[in-house]
This record gives sequence, structure tokens and C-alpha cells, in this order.
Amino acid sequence: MRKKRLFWQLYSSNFLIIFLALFAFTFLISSSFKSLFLDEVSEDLQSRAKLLHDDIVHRIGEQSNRAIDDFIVDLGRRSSTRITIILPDGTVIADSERDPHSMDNHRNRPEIRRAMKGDVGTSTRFSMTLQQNTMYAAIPLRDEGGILGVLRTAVPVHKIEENVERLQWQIVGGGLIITLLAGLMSLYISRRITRPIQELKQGARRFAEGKLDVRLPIPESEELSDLAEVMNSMAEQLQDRITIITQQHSEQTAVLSSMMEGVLAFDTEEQLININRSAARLLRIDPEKARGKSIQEVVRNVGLQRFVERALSSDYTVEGYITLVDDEEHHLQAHGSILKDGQGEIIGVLVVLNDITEIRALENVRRDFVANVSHELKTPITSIKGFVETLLDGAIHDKADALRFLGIVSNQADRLNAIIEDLLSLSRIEQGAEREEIALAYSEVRETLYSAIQSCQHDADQRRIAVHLDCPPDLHALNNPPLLEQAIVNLISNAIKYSEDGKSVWVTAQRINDDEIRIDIRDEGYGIEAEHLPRLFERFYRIDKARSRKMGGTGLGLAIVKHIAQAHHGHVDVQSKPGQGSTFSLYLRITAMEEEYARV
Amino acid sequence: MKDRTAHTPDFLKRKLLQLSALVEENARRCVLVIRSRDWQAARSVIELDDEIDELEISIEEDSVAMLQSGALGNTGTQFVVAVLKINADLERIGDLAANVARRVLSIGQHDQLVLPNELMELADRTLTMIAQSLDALVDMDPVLARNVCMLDEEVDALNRSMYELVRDRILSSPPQTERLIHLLSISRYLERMADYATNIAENVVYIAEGRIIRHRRNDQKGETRSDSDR
Repeated sequence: MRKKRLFWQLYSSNFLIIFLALFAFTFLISSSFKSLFLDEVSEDLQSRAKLLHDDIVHRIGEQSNRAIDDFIVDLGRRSSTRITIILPDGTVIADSERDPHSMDNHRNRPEIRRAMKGDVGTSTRFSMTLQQNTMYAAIPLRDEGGILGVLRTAVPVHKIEENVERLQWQIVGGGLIITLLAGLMSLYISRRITRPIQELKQGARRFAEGKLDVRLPIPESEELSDLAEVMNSMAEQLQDRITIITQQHSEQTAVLSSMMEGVLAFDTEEQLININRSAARLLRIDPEKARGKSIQEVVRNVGLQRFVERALSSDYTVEGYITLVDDEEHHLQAHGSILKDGQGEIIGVLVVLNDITEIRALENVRRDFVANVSHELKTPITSIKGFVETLLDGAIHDKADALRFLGIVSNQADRLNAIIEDLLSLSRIEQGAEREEIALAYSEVRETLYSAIQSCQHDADQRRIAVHLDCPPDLHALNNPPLLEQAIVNLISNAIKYSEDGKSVWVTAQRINDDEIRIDIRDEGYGIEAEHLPRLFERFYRIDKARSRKMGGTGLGLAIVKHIAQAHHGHVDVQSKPGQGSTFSLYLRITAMEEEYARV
Repeated sequence: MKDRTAHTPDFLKRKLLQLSALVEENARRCVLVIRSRDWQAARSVIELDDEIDELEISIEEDSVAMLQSGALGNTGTQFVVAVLKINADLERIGDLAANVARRVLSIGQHDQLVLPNELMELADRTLTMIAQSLDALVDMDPVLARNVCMLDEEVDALNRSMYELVRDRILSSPPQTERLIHLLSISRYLERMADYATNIAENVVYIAEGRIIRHRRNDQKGETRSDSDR
């Protein structure tokens, strides 16, 4: 059902009350007027009759009925009153309007009967003679002897009724005007009462829309102003609480989104409740689109789907490993635990993801390293042991063989020494960098490059390879000259090793921006397949093991270069294509990073 | 997922999405395997295909049970039929991924082999198509689904140029023939994976709009398509 407006309820009931009151008033007034009128007419009739009484009594004794009738007719015409004289037996002897002989016996008329008993009789009824409503008043005509007859006066009452009716209409008309005026006033009053309520309603609606900073105007009436104040303080409290909740929420979001770990929450139907930035990035999800969707829609990874299923059905924290495959494999460690609300009811599951791809890779590198070191050391030792045993078995007596074998043993010992030297210097650089013990000074680079080339000159000359240097004399960078020289030597000797005889090697150094210089060692050698490039700087990583060993490499040269670059807070990279040569680039800083100034 | 929700369209969709996750993962793995030629990774692609097959059968059984129950309305039936088709397409993509892995095993690990750019591009496009067709499936997005159908032409073209490339190389260096044939097969498998992704996308349009666009490609794309079809 449609609700009525308070205004109309107030207004219509007011109006109805006014209308009913006026109606009742009109009715009462008009009916009392009417009886007042009638009373007056009746009194008038009686007094007229009493005025005639003595005259008529006198005439009844002396004149004939005929003469009396004539007198009555004349009297009646002059006073515009109907006058009738009736004998005690009911016979009409005179009437001002009609011939008395043609009239009925009037003994049984109510007013006559009363008059016969000596009282004044009145009656109002329809007169058959006059054919209209008539009021009668009858008095007894008496002399000393008793009642001689009855004198009756009568007037038609229709005139009175007309008057009363006119009066009623006047009252009704006036009443209507009053009703109209009262209605207008009631309209105004109803408006006045409902307007503040209307304003409260609009204010409350604004609250509901969340505009809690607006305040309701305080109306004049006490009840409404109380209500408005209560509502205002309610809005204030709501606003405070909402502020607190919003703040807590944004704190929570800030905590979640600044976490490195990916965090996801699912409800018991496996629909996503919440996801932080790390998880969204890791799983390549748009958080806005994903919220509220089922895990099967959001995460296209069966490992994670099953993990969530498992976590939901377990009472304890579960742990698992998940592999994500996109452009490469990502290894994730996952922890899942049940989420409970305040009543201990299970509402879902929280999953925390750790990207352990790098840790896995590091573990692999370390494992490979141990295996590689053992292998690299074992090869020369096996060889030395073999030749020494051969010598012990008698080969020592053949001088030529003995010398040849001892030469091989010496070579292998050198190789062993070289590997151990490289390992030691690698660990020295690593430790130095870790403990920040490597002194870096702002100094010229050219001198260092020149002496590195000098160190390699002998090998280069043997292979008829020219090494060119191109470096501005005033190029400065933060560096540790002995370490930098070692790195450059390693790169140049590699370039020589993997170039054909008669080719060239270029060493160029230049400033690339305010903060960095780049040293390039470019060759025209065999080049390197793209798939080897990412692992080239790993320890003992070799593209072609047999060739590398034949060349006398330890497999550690580039690893040392990488660590030297890192000790300089720089880095190293390589560009190469098979058949087109390679360029190794070493990047060094010109200015120290802020926290290093103290030390420099 | 609990039993009480079994045999409802929502449950079926979740199961289908689970299958799609498995299939997409395996497709990605098989492409990684082409690059790395890691023997173990290739084996795990082939093994994961068994799991895909099992899930496919289970989805088919559920779908048939739902159709037999007769409690589905008009749209419900349409949905289950589309699920059946997508299910089969996904399973085929899974099979093809396993086939790719088998071919990689045949090429062998230690062989020096330069992969043609066309092949890797083809692989990337195929993965994109699979991912987008599944995105379209998740969101019931007919616009994205139509986009996938357009991509199919590029993949077809790449496959044709792979054929020409392999033919030329065989002619110029006959000893490499066997290896090149393997590469051509891989290219064909990838191209067919893209075809099935297109089928899935078409079925997504079918579910979303209740229209079959499969045999109406010329109407959709006008003149641009007809040349490449011949």
C-alpha cells in the first residue's frame, strides 16, 4: 500500500474536524431558531385569541350565528389570521375563511379538545381546509356560566419554515466560508509542522548516502530538535567509526601491499576475498577484476588450486611447493592456513606465497659449484698420480720417458695451482666485497688498462693478434687498480684465446653518463650462442669443456671478472653472436654512492 | 569443491577451468621444453597429459549425467553441450603438447640446433591464443573470443613459412633432414593447438551469444579472409 504523507494526514483530519463541527453547529442553531420562531408564533396566536375573547363571548349571547360569522370574516381579513368559533358540541358557527355550514364537526381536533377542558390548546398540522401546514391555538370562551365554546386562531406556518430555511442557508454559507478559511489556516499549520520533518528526512537521507559531514538544522519544536540532535550525534559517531575503519583498512592494505610475499585469501567456496600486490604480480592477476571470483577462474594453475583445496580441508597450516609456468618457471613456496571469524567459524583460507626461484637457482649454483670444484681438482690429480705411479713402476729408469712424464706432472701441478689461485682470489674478492674492505679510489683508468694490455702482450704476439687501446687520458672512475687490472687481463686473454690468429682486439673506455664509465673489450672471435650468455659468468661454466681445458682455462676467469665488477659497485655484461665476435662491457661508477663517501 | 554442488553448471564450469589450467600450463611447459630441450621437463609434460586425460573423461561423464538427468533448461543444455566441445578441444591441446615433448626427446639433448625465429614466434602466438581463449572462457567475453579467432590467420601463415624454411634447409643440407622434419612436426602441432584454441573461442561465443560462428567466418570477416584460405 502506498504510504500517505504526514502532511495530508494532518491536513485532511483537521479539515474533517472543522467540517463536522460546523455541520453540527449549523444543525443545532437552525433547529433551535426554528423552535424559537414557532414558540413566538404560538404565543402570538394565543394573545390574539385572548384579545378577542371578551368581544366574542359578548356577541355569542346577543347576535345570531350569521352576524358573528360576518364579524369574524371581517376580523380575519384585517388581521390576516384565520379565526374559527366552535360550539362545545363541535359545531363550527363562524370561520373567517370558509362557510361554517360546510365544515366538519371539530370536536375531535386536538387543540379543541384541550380548550374544552379549559386550557389553551395548540397544534401544528396539515389543514385540509387550507391545504397547507397550519398552526392552531385554541382558547375556551367562557362566561360566569361555564364554557360557551372555543375560539381558535390559525396561521399557515410555511412562511415560518421558509424563514428558517433561509436562515439555515445563510448559516451554511457562512460555515463554508469559515471552513475554507480554517482549511487554509490548517494547511499553513500542517506545513509548519511537517516542514522540519521533511528537512530531517532529507538530512537522514544524506546520512544514508554516506555524507556524514553535513549536520541537520535544529527545528524549533522540542521533540524534533531532540530527534535532530540525536541524529546528528549518531552521524558524528558513525563518521568517527567509519574513519577508524577506513584507516585500519588502509593500514592493512599498506601492510599487505608492501609485503614481499604474495598473500591471498579465499572463502570456503574457494572464491577470492583478498589479494595483495605481490601475489597479483606473481600470478599476473588484475586484483580489481579477480575479487569475488572462484579460484578456478582467477588462477589458471592447478598446483595452487589443489593447494587451496588441501588447505581448506586441513586443520593445520599446510606447506607446499608450486610451479608457475609463464615465460619461464617460477618456484613458489606456499603456506596455507584456515581463517576463522570471532565465533571460531571457518570463513576461508589464507595463502602466503614466497618466490623461491632465485633461492632454488642459488642452491643449484652452489651444488654445481661443489661438484665442479671436485671435478676440476680431480682431473689434474688423477693425471699426476698416474704419471708418478708409472715412474715408480720403473719408468724412472728411462731418462727420456722420466723427463717427459715429470714435465707433464709439472704442467698438471701448475694447472692445479692456477685453479687454486683463482679460487682463492675469487673468495678474497667475494669476502672483501662482503666486508667492504676493498678500497676504491677516484683515479685514472688509462694507466690500468695499459698495464693490463702489457701483461697480455706476450700471448697476443704469439698469435699475431693486435690489441688496440682507445681511452681518453683524463677518464676517471672509482676503482681499485690491481683488481681492475686483473679483470681486464682476464677479459683480454679470453678475447685472445677465442680469436683466430691475426685478428684484432679492441679495448675502449668512455664515459656514458654523469655517473658511469664503460670499458669494452671487443674481439673478432668465434662468438657465443645466445643460450649460453645468461650463464657465462657462473663459476666453471664452460661452453666447450674440452676446448677450454686445452686452452689452459680454469673456468673461473669470467666469474672473477663478475665479482670484481660487483666489488666496484658496477656490473658486467656481454653481447655476442656466433661468427661475429663478442663484446664484454665493464661498467664502473664515477661517484660513490652516498653512504660510501665516508670510507673513500 | 564439495559433493553437494556436483552436477550443477557452476561445478562443471569450475572443473572445466581446472582442466584449462592444466592444459595451459602444459602448453607453456612444452614450449619451454622446445627451448631448453631438458629431457626431464619433456618427460613431465608427457606425464601430465595422463592427468589431463583423466580429468577430461571425468568432465565428460559429469556432462552426460547432467544431460541425462533432464533437469536442464534450454540454456543449460546449450551450456553443457558447449562444455563437452571445449572439453574435447582442451584434451586435444594437451595431447599435442605431449606430442611436442616427444618430438623434442627424439631430437635429443646434445645436438647443436639453432631454432628458427619463425618457430618461436609461432609458439608465442599459440600460447597467446590459448591464454586469450581461456581468458575469454573465464569471463565469457565474446569480444576477446572473436579476437582469438582473428589471430589464427597469423599462426597459419607462420606455419606455412616454417614449411618453406624447412624445405629449403633440407635441400641445402640433407644430413639435417631428420632433425628438420622433427621441427616441422613441432610447428604443425603448435599450429593445430592454435586451431583448437580458436574452436574454444568460437564455443565461448556460442555460450555467450547462443550463436554458432564456426562455419560463418567469411561473413564475419568479409573479404580479408578469403585470400589466405585458398
